[in-house]
Amino acid sequence: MKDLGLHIYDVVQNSIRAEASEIGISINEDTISNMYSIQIQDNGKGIEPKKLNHVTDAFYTTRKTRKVGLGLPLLKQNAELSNGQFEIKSTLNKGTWLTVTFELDHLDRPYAGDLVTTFGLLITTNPEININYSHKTTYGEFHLSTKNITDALGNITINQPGVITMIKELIAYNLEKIKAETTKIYSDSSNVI
Amino acid sequence: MTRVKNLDDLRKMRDQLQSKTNLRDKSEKPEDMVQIKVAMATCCIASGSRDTMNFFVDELEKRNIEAIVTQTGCMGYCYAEPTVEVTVPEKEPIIFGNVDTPKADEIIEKYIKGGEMVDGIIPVNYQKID
Repeated sequence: MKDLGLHIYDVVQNSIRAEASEIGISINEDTISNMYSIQIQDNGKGIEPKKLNHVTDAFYTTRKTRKVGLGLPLLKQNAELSNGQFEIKSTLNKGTWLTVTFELDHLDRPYAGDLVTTFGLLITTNPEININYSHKTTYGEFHLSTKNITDALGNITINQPGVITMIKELIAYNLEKIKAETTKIYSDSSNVI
Repeated sequence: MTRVKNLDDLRKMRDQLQSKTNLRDKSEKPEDMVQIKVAMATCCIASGSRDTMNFFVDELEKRNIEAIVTQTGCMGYCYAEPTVEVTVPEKEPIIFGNVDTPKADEIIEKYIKGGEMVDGIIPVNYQKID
């Protein structure tokens, strides 16, 4: 994985496979305690305690299409390389809770990457899941959830063309405002609609 | 064109979007639209499928092609990620391997628009000759 946005995208795919209807993702860029933390929680089917010990084992997977499962092991590795921690808890049929922290100014911490695309795609391509995204930096906070958007849109569906571009614009504008770390600020609105 | 800064702006854009929706409703049923499935597991994401998917979503909209872009799990072709399954109406689904953005562009222009075959197809259905 090149950046944290991809890690988030990847972990959320696990939640989607676990049939979650609510997924919360919060990012905190804390310059005071020099920590970048990501917390992801869902209300999916959870992981059995026996299996939970194996989730960070690269050679463990529940899939039948291949023999390795690298998503969480790679995330854990990246966290540990940058003096951070990886923690996962799960209750069967209740959901899974994952926190991963990185030292903010550590040289080996992956860059946040393109969070606009990550969240824009996550929200618009999974309309049946309520995704709660919050991002906190020293300059402020930003909250966005699928429910907020669907309320604002009324009878327009979230996954139709045009909406995606607007949601990405909205995320980009707000992340810029709180000076969040993200690669691409989405400003290409020239040929929208 | 004003930038969408918050949910209120989004609410204001409703009318514009509404006219677009009507156009869409009138057009066709989902099975008459181009369907694109982008594989989205660890292997795919690490190889750049997020950008591929983003490219499809953005470009199909810009080029006015009616299409549904969805995501799916690992299809088992990890050696050829990012993989994309394209279903053009009334044709068999085709899986393309190693789809980066230039390749995605080629797929849109040649296969979806022109109906021309493009390199990089992963064969899925083998029919044995006994």
